[in-house]
Amino acid sequence: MKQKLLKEWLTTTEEDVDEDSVQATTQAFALVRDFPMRAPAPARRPSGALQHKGGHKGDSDALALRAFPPLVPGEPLAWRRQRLHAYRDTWRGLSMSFKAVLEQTNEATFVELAAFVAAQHAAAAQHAAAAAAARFTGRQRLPAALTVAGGVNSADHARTFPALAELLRSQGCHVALLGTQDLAAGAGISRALNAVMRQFSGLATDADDLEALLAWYTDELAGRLEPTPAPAPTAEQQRMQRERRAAQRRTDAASPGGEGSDGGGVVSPLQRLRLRSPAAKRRLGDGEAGSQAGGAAGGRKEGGVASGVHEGAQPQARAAAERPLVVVVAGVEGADALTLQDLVLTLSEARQQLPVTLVLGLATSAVSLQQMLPAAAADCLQTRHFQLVQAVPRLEALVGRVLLGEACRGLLWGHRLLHRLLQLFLDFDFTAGAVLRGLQVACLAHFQGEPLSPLAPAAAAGAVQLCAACSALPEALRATAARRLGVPVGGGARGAAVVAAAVGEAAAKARRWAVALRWTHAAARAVGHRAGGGDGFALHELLRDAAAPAFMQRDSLRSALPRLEALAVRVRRLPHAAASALLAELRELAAACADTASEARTVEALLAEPLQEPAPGAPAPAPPRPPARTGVLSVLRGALGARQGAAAAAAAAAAARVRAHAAEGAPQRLRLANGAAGLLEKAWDAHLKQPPHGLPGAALLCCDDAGEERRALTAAPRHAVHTALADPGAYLGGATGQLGLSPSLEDACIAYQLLLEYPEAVNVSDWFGGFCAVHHSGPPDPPAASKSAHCMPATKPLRRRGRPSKRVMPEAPPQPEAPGILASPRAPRGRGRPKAPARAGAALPAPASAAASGSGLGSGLGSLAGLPPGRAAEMAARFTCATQDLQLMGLLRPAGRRRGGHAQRLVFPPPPAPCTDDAAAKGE
Amino acid sequence: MMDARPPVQRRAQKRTVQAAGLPVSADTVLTTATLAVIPVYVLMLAQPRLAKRLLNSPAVFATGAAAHTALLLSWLQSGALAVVLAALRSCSPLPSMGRVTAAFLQAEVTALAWFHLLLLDLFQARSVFLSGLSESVPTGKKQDASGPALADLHDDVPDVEHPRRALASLPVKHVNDKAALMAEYEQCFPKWRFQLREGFSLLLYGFGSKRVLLERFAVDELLDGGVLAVNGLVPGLSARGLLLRVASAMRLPRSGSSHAILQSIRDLPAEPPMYVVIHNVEGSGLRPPDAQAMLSELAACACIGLVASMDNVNTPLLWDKQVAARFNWLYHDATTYAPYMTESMHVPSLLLGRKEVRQAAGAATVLRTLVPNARAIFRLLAEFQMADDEDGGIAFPHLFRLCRERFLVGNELGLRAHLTEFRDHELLQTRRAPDGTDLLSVPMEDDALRRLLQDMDASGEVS
Repeated sequence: MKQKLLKEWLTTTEEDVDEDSVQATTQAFALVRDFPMRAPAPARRPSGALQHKGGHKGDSDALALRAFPPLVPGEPLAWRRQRLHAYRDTWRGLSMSFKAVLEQTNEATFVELAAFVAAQHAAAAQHAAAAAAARFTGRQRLPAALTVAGGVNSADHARTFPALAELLRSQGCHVALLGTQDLAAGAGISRALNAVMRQFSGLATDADDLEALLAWYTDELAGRLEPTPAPAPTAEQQRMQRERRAAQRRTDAASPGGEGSDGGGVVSPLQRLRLRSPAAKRRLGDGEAGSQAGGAAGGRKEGGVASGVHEGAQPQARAAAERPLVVVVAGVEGADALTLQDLVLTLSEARQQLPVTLVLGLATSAVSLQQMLPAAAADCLQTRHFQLVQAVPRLEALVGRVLLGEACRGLLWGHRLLHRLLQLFLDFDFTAGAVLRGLQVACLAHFQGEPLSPLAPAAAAGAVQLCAACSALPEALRATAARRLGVPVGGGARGAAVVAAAVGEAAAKARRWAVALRWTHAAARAVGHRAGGGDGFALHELLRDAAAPAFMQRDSLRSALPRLEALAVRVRRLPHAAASALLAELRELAAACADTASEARTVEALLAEPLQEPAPGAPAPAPPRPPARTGVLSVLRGALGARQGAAAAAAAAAAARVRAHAAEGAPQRLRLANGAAGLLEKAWDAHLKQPPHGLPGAALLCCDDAGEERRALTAAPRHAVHTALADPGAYLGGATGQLGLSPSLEDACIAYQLLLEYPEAVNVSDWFGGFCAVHHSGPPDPPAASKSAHCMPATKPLRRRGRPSKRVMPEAPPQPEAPGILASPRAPRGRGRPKAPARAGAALPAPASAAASGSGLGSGLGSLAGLPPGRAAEMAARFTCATQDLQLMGLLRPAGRRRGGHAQRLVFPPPPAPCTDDAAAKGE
Repeated sequence: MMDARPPVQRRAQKRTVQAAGLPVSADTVLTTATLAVIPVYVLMLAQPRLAKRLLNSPAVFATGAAAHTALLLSWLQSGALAVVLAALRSCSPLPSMGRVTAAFLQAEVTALAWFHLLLLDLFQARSVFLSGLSESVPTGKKQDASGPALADLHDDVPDVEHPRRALASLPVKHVNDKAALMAEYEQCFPKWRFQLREGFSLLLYGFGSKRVLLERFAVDELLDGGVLAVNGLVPGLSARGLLLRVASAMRLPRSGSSHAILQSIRDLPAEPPMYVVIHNVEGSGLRPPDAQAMLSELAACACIGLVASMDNVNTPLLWDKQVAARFNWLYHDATTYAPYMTESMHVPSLLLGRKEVRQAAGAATVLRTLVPNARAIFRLLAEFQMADDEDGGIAFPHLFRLCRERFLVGNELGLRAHLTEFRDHELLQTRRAPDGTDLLSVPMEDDALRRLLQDMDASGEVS
């Protein structure tokens, strides 16, 4: 029912209007300020969903600085400007790294696709020659690359297929990118063929049939190949030639200039278009272009269809013949099945003349194509599957190469923010783009709200830059710095050195911490943990969990110690080759960071030690005692929580046993594994036990405000409207102390709160009566009087009249309630009579006039009848405006024809606002 | 109520009664009376309003009382009630049980008593039913039991032609709080502008009109580029129209497909920006998916800054992931409690009821299909009716004269053809004036008529 109503609302739209109607709607527009003149030479900008507009380059600092107001008294303008520039630099680096990562994720698949396309085109050329010799006509298998993107309608893939098209074009392919709108129902394949024509030829043409496409390709090949005796045309080819000639005659007749063939010469419309195009005219001149067209026609007339024209262009012609033709269809599931079928069949039938390779972009799975296409079309496809990188691996790449890399420019991401962003990713959007938006909002909020935030990029740049930035710290901010760092910050160079030392230490610690996390992730992958996460060892999970202070606390429920110890045990059991590879990876990771150079040297030394095989006669050492399912047990116990201590103790004991065994008589081939595990444990102790976020200097670097991101990206408009109407005190300070309904409330609030008591069908007359009764009630009685009169305890649920609603809300929002005061009283609904004490929500004393009437149309209306006409009109106007407001907001609509005099309530109280997850975010 | 007498005796009695000239037998009375009250009870359950009207009229009980009296008199005359008279005579002072029992063995007595009981029961049921209606106790169909009908209101509630204007003269509630809210939002203007320049689009939500707030934002803050304000609720607005207007404001060519225009906007540098302020982005003209997709493409252009407001709580359902990502919305709670002066102009009033709205909509549809002269005649008729408060219509000769003066018709036959068309579509009714002439009128209220004419004007129906 709810979906039906929403669908009805979504489809209640105006029909598309023509130009005349556009003129008629000029009242809809108002030009507030004229568009200023542009720069003379506009630069072309790339487009795309992931392209960040980022128009701040020309944004004047004076205007932009207003968005960075002084945070402490006396903060100088120059420092505010530093905050602005620090934000811009930081975010520019982050976004560029992010885009680079996203573009690289699909590179391998794209290369495979390009190779596939080239191979299919080469095979098609050979097959076409054989088929032409055999005079074969009919459908042929059409090579199709099924690329599964994963994630329906994922915003991350908005640029995937355009990027693929660009790549293929750069490889020399003719590429046409079709969207779902090109394969919509009702238009046939003409729209798709027109799009293919436009993109293949690069011309703005209206040609939308296959013959035109074939003619274009023939033109591409004609005159560039050596004049070979053309095979005798088949009946089908003769028919197509006749049609093309007829089309040509029609074109010539329609062309005002009268240029064209002299009857029988096959000059494609495309060639004419190309010669008429501005580029051709610039190149050849108008007259020359026309004569070129005529020459082409004449040459073709003499030489036949495949006769050559430009002998000197043969090398280019050969290259052109080798250019594959690729049609990329993005979002196959959204296309019309019949149109897609027609396209496949058409291209299949024309494959001999037009060797097209299809690239079909699927969002769900390859099976969906089989379900869409009939067998006749599916049989025409020669498919090969390609898997694009999905959301979680993209996120992993983003975390590993951006958030844990140097691109953050000194910023530290707090646990609350990371928790919130990952929740946004996993529960809501499942796109890496959503994480990027959240990061940008958080980053902006950090630089707008943290007075010492310019120190972060300086800390990332190096000690010298950091010292310089600290030296430039204004006097007004030194007290702030002292308060934030918890140390006295004096003036001059000494004070700057104190600040620089604290911030630098936090930054260095953060870098080592990041390396330790990546080591852990590498070790987990080496022992076989899933790369996608779920077991706590994915990079995004490690980043989120390790930022919490409880990550390495043994007595915490969220402690990762059991997991890490189990990981160390499994690392110790790695075979020599795997351990060696792991150590190589650890060395590489450590070497990438200057702060972990000593760790890199340690790993290097470990790898450099020669392998000592045991003596031939020596007794084989006993294998290490199995860890008794330590890892599984510890994970399970960790999840149980109650047995956390026991699990940790067991894991520690197992680890100690393994260590002791290794020290006593482990084989040499386990030396590297033991060494790697020891290094990991050492790194955990040194870098992960105390996350850098807790350091004093990190307070200036840490970006941990998830509130702004929650408000700006995942707002709850329904909840806001409900709160504004049901609890206006949340916005209007003057309405804070009011309990229940009173005439001083906004009319829409009164109407909405009365509406909340109704089920789905609302009797307008009844509702209006209650509305009038509220307005007649005068100022609300003091709470004590109300309590003695009609109030009911807050715990008693409201009883709805009529049949119960079919919609069951999971949780009703908590009613505003003051401690010790009874529930918010409700106005008498319906008749306006004073409610009996048994009815909840009847706390508002009914007006005397309302009580006196008591029958007929209801007291509200009865009292309305006794009012002067002006007051009655005011009531009607108030109620009309209030209900119009509610209708405008989609909370209400007039009922259907069968329920005259009724309205339909559309929205029921939303569940409480999204949980802040503060408790979870704190890591406790 | 079984008749315990042997069939022979009953047949004899029946013959006796019929011989006395009574039209019906006791059996017939019993059956007829029982069947007669059943529909009334059914009406009370199924059609309370009709039952209310029926039971409030004296016809039911007057008929019952008359039938009861007639039966009593007839059977008294025929001697069928002699047993009752004997029982009454034997009262000393109270009747004996044996006599009363013997009296009820008589079929006519039993039928008469049954008839009496039915009437009494119906009377009691009427009281309970009417009381239930007035006390809001569910006594029948819920729609009617839940309260009075909207049609009953119209006697008490005056029609308010312009409710917003009527309220404008009243004191505003919470003036200071609302001003404080606005001031709070205005303090955020620089941040909003910076967010716009950072590539986000702004979407303001919350209760209350945001028109003034957005206008202030556009005038006071968006100083570094062009600003185009769009009212999304205007009927007939389309995304293509908006796109053309934006292109026009940016001095770009307006010809070509939407894709080409978008591409030309996309090719522009980010500076200087063009800000597009859309009041109510969920307006019906902008609601189709294609329109929203086009708007999102526009919002993704580097030189475009999009600021929009929404009031319908279902608005975010308009966007799928890709469209929402292209919009790149930043939501801002802008609850202002300001009155929706222009936004709710096209929202129907619940108090006026839907009948007039439907009627007006139907009339608009019909008029759209008529020839221009017919529409002009209808306009003439409607304007005369709104201007005339006394006669309640226009006489045919008068109307013909007016139409002829305006060259709308050439003869009476033509006018009558148009009037027949109106009458067929229930756009015209005829009533007899006291002087015997036929007056023509449109069966619509003045307000609905005025709106209909406005709609005709807006859509250019009448030139």
